[in-house]
Amino acid sequence: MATHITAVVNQKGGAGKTTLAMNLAAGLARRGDTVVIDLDPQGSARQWASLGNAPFPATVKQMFGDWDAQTLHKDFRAFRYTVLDCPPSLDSHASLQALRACDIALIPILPSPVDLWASLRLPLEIAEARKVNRRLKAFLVLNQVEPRSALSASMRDALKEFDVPVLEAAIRRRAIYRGAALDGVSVYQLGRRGTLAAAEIEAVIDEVIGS
Amino acid sequence: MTTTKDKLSASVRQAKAAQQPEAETRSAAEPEKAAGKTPTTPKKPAGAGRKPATKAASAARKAPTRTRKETPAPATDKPATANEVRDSGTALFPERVWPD
Repeated sequence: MATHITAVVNQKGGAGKTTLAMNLAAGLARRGDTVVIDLDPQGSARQWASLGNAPFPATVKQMFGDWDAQTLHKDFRAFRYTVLDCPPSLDSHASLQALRACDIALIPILPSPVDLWASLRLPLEIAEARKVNRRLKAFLVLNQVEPRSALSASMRDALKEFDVPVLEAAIRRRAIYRGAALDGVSVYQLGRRGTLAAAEIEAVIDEVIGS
Repeated sequence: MTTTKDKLSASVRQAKAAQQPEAETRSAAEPEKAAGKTPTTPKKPAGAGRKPATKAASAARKAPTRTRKETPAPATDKPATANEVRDSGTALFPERVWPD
């Protein structure tokens, strides 16, 4: 059985790639065995998983060197879902290879002009990756949204310039996401405190899997 | 609210436009790189590189450059004070000898 590969990618650092990747993986793990491949040399995903008292719901592995879609399908065929946590650079082999290998690319983006400007190269790279990966679907995910902020409310309009669809499901700015990282768990494991955040991740998964 | 929305969209369009030439340059350079060639500039016809001299430019070139006439250094190293007249030393026509 081929593993379903989701890459969480953005060249901008601090966009919430690891937070989305880890919680997404925890949500996917409720549906089938899931592995997170930490492609970032900073190793934040691995660090996250190592902090918890309880085992993280998804397996987390770090991977370096040359690899491609075939490698992933061969090495991780035991997993139903593979989530690639990419480094904050499009110049690295890892990010470009992830776009060429994945089924879904999720691009977390913050409601900030600087983040928008910095992410403008992504649609070009996605178009380039589609030349070798025709099944690639890419979505922007609004992250750390503050509903009362004018900037957050303006984001969907501004993102029309990207030529990449934006998920209806958005992730709000919540302290619980940072708290989960600190505890080495996902928002699903935080009981009532994590309910709203877990519902947001579920909405992302439902929209992506249903796409 | 509308202002923020407009400003944000406009800033993205502007950033996109600024990145466009860069991307075009990159894509234009890639085939050359793949062919193992170093980018070369097309040969220009003789004299094509010369810019026609503008009136202002030639006038500026012809205009004599005024160099500041160096005044001889005062013979004494004694610093001048507000109420004191600087010693002209051995200079024939010092800039300032007497108070106005």
